[in-house]
Amino acid sequence: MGMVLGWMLRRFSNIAVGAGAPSSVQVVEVEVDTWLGHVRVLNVHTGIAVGRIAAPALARSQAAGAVIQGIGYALYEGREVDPASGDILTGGLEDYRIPGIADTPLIDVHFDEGGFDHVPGGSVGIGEVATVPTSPAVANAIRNAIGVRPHELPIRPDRLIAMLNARSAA
Amino acid sequence: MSATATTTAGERQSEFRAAGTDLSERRRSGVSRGPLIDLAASPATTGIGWGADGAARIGAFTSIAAIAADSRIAQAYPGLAAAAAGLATPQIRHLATLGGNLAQRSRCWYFRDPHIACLKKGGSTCPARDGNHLYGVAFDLGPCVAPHPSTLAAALLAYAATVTTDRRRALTIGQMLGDGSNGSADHALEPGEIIESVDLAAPVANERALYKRAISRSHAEWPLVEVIVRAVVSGGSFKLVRVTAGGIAPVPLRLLAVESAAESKATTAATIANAVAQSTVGAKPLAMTGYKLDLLKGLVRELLERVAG
Repeated sequence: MGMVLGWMLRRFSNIAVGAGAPSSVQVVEVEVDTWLGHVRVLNVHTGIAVGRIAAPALARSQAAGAVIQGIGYALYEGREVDPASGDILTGGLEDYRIPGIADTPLIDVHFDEGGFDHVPGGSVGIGEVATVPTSPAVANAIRNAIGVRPHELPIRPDRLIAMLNARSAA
Repeated sequence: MSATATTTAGERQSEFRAAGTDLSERRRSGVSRGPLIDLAASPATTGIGWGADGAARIGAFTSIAAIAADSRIAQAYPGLAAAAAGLATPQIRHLATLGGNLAQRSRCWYFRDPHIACLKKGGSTCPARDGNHLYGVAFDLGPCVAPHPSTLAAALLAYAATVTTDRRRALTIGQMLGDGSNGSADHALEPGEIIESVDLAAPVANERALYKRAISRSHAEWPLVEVIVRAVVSGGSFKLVRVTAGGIAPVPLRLLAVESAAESKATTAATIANAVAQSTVGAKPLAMTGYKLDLLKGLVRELLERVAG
């Protein structure tokens, strides 16, 4: 299947399947208020390897936006439903929360531009690869801070309190 | 924001509109569909006035931002100023009024859903009670499980403020909002009754106050729990302690057991720990709201420690 897909991509498009894998790594620093179950993300370092950056300002902006989106995914965005009817209860931005400016950390962006010489243009898309590591990195940082690993997103105050109570009981 | 207005047989319930910050959202969603009555500002409902003894009267049309920015309010009633500064967003605070904040409608997901009936929309049951009540009450005092949304009501309760309407004078916050046993209303005002102003007694000498809310984000979120602590601390002991909380019950609550555990006691860690343990006296959490009691204890502890220090 993969071989067929690879052959089709090579035959019918400009995209080549090669050895370079788009990748990103993030280092996240958080502060956890264990009395109020509140998490604040202080610093994020994001390193992204998608080849040569064609539009540095846009790419940088996308990488920073991806971190902010990932923080929302990690800490705030929750699709709550009514168990009886299945109605979505968090159907607007009043209730389905995304990060505000005060929730935005200092973001350091680094691009590793090598490794994609086999691709026309020398680079691939930055899209999803920039936001994928944020939520696990936030969860890992919380684990590092309080010693309990979150298994559910978003990591809201009610879930943090439950994790901390389970830690105390253990 | 709005208050419930006159209802006559066969007529859709009409609503008052002051700034309309929340009402416009409910009009758009279809939750509010009756006729509107625009309130006009008058001398009785505007401005902040001061008595010779240092007592304040705040007109119901005063914006939240004006309360938060008033230096004399901040000096005399720092808990009220901090609560005003801590609620909603700058845009909302700029428009929204004191009266509208006190008379605002519930934030419950089910109330806000135009497709679901609930006690506050003429329904016969509370669908959140057996449904998703993640942000519901932790002191289950009535048939509706939504906490009262007014941050300023919780702050004004700490100051034992009274409310003047176009019909009655000197209503306590408790008299204006009721005790939570009526699940169909957000307040105990009569149909068509309009809030005109709020009176606060002169501050006690050397009193301090703090306000804090527990939320997910840094700002701009309805409080999971919010606490106001007023205190006079001198000679290493609590002389006066007033503690009120919002977000936990159908009405803002005064935490009397915390107050009596701290008042006239030395400001030691043991006193504070004992007072914090009293925060949950009378609590009846729902299946999903037990965490609010932890947040309540955390807030009471933090504010008592800070006000003592």
